[in-house]
Amino acid sequence: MSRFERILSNIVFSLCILLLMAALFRSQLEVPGWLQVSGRLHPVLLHFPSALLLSMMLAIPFRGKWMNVTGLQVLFGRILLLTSLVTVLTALTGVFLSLGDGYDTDLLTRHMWLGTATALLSYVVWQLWSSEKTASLWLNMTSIAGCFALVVGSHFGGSLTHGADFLSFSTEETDVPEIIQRPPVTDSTAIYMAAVQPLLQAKCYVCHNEKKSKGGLIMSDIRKMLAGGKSGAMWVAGDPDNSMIIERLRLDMEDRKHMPPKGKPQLTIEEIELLHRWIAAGADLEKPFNALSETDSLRTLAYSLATSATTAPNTAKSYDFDPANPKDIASLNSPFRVIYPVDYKSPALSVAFFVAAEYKPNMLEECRKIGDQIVSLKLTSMPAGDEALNIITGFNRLEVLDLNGTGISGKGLEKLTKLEKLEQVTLSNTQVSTDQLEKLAKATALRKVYIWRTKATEQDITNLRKKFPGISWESGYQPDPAEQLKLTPPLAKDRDKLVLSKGELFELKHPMAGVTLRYTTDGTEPDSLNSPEYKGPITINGPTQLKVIAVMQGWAKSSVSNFSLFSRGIAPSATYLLTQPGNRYKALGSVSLSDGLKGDSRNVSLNWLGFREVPFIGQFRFDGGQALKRVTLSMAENHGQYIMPPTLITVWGGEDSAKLSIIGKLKPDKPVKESPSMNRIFNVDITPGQYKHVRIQADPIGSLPAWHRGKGDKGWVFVDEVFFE
Amino acid sequence: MNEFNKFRLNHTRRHFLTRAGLGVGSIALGSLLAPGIFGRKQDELESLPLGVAQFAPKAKRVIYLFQNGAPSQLETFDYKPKLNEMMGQDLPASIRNGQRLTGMTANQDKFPLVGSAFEFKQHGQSGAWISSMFPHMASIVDDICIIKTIHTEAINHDPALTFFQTGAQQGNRPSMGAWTSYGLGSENKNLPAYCVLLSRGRGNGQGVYSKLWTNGFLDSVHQGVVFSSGEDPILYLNNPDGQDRSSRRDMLDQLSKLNTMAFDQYGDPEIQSKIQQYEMSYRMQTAVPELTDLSKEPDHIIRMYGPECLVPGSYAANCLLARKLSESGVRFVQLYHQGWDQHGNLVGEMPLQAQDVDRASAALVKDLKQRGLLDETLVIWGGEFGRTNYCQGNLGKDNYGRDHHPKCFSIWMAGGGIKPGTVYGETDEFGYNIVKDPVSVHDFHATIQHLMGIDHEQLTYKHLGRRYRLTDVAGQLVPGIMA
Repeated sequence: MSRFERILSNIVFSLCILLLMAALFRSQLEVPGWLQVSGRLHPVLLHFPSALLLSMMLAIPFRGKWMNVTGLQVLFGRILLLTSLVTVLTALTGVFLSLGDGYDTDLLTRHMWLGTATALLSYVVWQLWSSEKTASLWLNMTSIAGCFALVVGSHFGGSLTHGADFLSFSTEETDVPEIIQRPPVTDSTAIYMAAVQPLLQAKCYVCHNEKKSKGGLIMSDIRKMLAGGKSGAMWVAGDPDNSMIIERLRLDMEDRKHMPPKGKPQLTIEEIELLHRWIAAGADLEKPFNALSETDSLRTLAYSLATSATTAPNTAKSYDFDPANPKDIASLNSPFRVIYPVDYKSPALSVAFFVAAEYKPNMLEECRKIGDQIVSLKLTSMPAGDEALNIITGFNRLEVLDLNGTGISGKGLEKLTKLEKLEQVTLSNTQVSTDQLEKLAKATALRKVYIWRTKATEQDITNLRKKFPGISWESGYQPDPAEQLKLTPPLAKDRDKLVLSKGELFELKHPMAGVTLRYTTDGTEPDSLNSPEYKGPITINGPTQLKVIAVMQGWAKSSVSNFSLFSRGIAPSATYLLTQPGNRYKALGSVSLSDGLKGDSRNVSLNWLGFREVPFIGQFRFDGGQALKRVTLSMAENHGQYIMPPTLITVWGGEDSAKLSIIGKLKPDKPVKESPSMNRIFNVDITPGQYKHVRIQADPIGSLPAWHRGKGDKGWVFVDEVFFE
Repeated sequence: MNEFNKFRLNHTRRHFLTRAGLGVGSIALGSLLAPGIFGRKQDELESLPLGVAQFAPKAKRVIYLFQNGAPSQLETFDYKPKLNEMMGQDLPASIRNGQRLTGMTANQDKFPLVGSAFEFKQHGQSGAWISSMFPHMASIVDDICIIKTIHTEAINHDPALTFFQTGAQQGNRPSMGAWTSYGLGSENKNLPAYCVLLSRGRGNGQGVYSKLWTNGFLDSVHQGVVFSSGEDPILYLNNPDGQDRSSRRDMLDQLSKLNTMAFDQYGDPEIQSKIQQYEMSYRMQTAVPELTDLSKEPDHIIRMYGPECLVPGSYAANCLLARKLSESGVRFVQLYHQGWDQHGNLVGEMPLQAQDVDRASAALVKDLKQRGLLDETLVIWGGEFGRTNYCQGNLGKDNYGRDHHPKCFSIWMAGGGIKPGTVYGETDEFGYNIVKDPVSVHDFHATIQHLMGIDHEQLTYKHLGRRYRLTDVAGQLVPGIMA
């Protein structure tokens, strides 16, 4: 073997390995542009192997004795080696060429592998030829295999470029995609014909038709489609989630069974959803639109797909202009001027200003550096004046401009008409006037203008709408003067100050400026005319049920606020609980009964002591004795939480804690129907006298009344404070 | 074997090495063309940028009006006249179909069906049925999409809430808002990306816990910030007496130096979070007063949201604040309104709850719309599950209660990429099972992330040896509700 042959042979060997790699990992190839261009050599190179290789490899099995002449053998060998080189290069360029789109993948795969096989076989043939023993069976067999690979591979190659059946004798035009003249979609069109069939035709027929039925499935004929393919029927009518077509569509793109195969046009989410719903609705081939209700989701989706121009609507805008300099973006970005791309690949930028106190006019001016990339600008509530408009007109790709609540007066608004892409301007809460708006309306791309709370009157807006019907003028909420809204009830200035020490005052408040508060302390409902007006903090004298309302011109009076107010009264020297409160309602134990902190009956808080299984029994000691005439229990009533008034309150008193006698009793009224939760005050008048010890018992209801949903269950009693007078 | 053949098979070492060298060289050359074939392919998921949308978003921000306690679908949006016809009759076993019940009604020997005590009317172009308790929501029906077929796996409040907020029932995952903050970052760096506002209605309530707005295993900057329901929504924001802004700045600069030293030493990323949080709090000192100042809100904002919007901590005030936060670029505003757990006295409590939320919820949508913000803000209204079509306990003459029902319930969504004026999904005539177009909580999450420019399968975080996402291993987009 000459040096020349050895070098060439090694080159071919290397290229063979490279070719094998390229073919195996074709899907992951990342080929530089120039190399991909070399793929275009493929159609030129391929003629060499087609003719030369074929004739040489055919000659091998039929070679005669004359071939044994050494010179001839060497010459034949060298031509074979050169041909092998060209073959490998042809195959390699072919792989590069295939990386461009637009090739039928099945055909391409077959062509590629047969081409690769041809190239590798040609090298093997040369190796065998050059290894002296020219008569071996192996040589003949490889040559024949090479011929076969070459012929069939070339045929597929031809089909790729000239279309299948190029070599068939038929002169009829075949495989021209069937164009069914579809009648316009009406309410009586079958959903299948209007939306489903076109979708299948567009995305599935390529591989599942009469000529090419992958997986044994033919979809271009309704009957054959219903028969299904090798793996079974395409769907189970009414059960999309167990239908093979939905399963295959939803499989991961990398999954071999995913349909359509990777590389083919895929179905959009809407299209999959359409098939899903259509199968769920019974996969009926005949059912027209009007067989479904107008709001039916299948009907609406099918209708929108059937009537849209393309089967794959893509509403997202794509931008292909040059991006701004990342350094400029980074230098302009700050917490008060935020610049971010529309998405991470997009050159289009959104700019938003925040915190009015930090806004300086030059902050907008500096944005000129990225002015060509700004598509949306937000200046909401910034103190930007009309001069800002001069800068904004330089942002020639601006689409959305937000000027809500800015300081612009609208002078120079017409300059914005220069912005050819401007679609939306928000001007709510500004001083813009109608004639300025009319000038703005001439902007060519303008579709939406927000003018809530501008100078434009209702009449102006009607005129604008008439004059510029292509623009949606959003005028926003206008209050109905006839509507009388109810004021909110008055509030306690300090919610924890409902138990007042001597000299302390009770203070009210209301969030709305200009309201009048009127109140009563005798338990009657306050009215908006005669009840005393609250003019400032008030004093109380003993337990007081304060009822307050808020009134104001033009508003309905508020509901009544109820405050159970207490004077701190006489404090016992010590307090004991003789029964244990329920687990979750222990508050701070006996201390809670006289800490001056009231609980909230609605949202049961930590200030309550709750009893259910046992009555509440508290004992109070007054060192040295104390003259008492009344005991007051502050309790809760909350029917939803099973908290009811006690059935009986009993008070004992005496000198000796072991020998107490009953000094007072109260039997509260039983509630007769469900009522809102509230704080209750129970005053028990006791036999006046000097007492060292007082014991109070409150019995929870043992069986809830019939109207309560917990009928027959035990109820709770809740106590938060006990007062003595 | 003949000697010649043997000789031919005897390749020399040199020959072998030459060939092997060439082969390996070619493979190396080939691997240049297909960089992915050797070693682990660089993970596409990990290379996705954070803090910016993966594709152009329809919704930039979310306001989630969570109706905590689970409002009944049968008294809001899912009109079932059949239940009124069959009032008091037992729920057919074929409908219940062995569905698991809560401990509160599992032992009931009868399941008396009960129809809505409130009238329903059709509204808007979609002809959606809405109960008479919600006249204001009915007025925005052409802007919202009512989903009648959302369903969940949980039957009790806490797991159900946690599931809605974090995509799992256990409470160890980041919540939706935290994922959003992690994926998209904050638009306005002067405010938290994720704010939480709480309010309480007059109905029977259920608790909310900080695990619902947790950052889970994500960095703690993504945690929801709870606003106080008092007069000052953010506590301790003002400088203490005697300290001005510049000395506060000095203090933060020094503190940041110390923290940076600590970070260099220990490398704990939480230290960096702390520095960022201090800086943000400093900027919040100017950003927040602008937000909470209601004096710039005109009178008719008060008429629109109702006068309750002036009472701090009320649902209406929170809706108004939510609008202001969202307008200022807060990614995710989460409201919780408690009090929707009507096991009993539904007829008494539900109108009170409705009064609290109806006007303000509708006002929020209208307010966003008139400022041009509705197109880019997603508003969600709904609870954690539905309520049973049968009465809990004994059916009263004119009152009843309903237990928890996970198999179908109604929510609505509006704005940011949602198809307006639609009703999605159908339940059976008993309002018990879904007949068409079910939407699971995972589907709901997937769709929300999609609208925000995030592929729910790609926003992941590696924790305890595997990748997690909000939808974990489930979730299908719901194209039927997207515009």
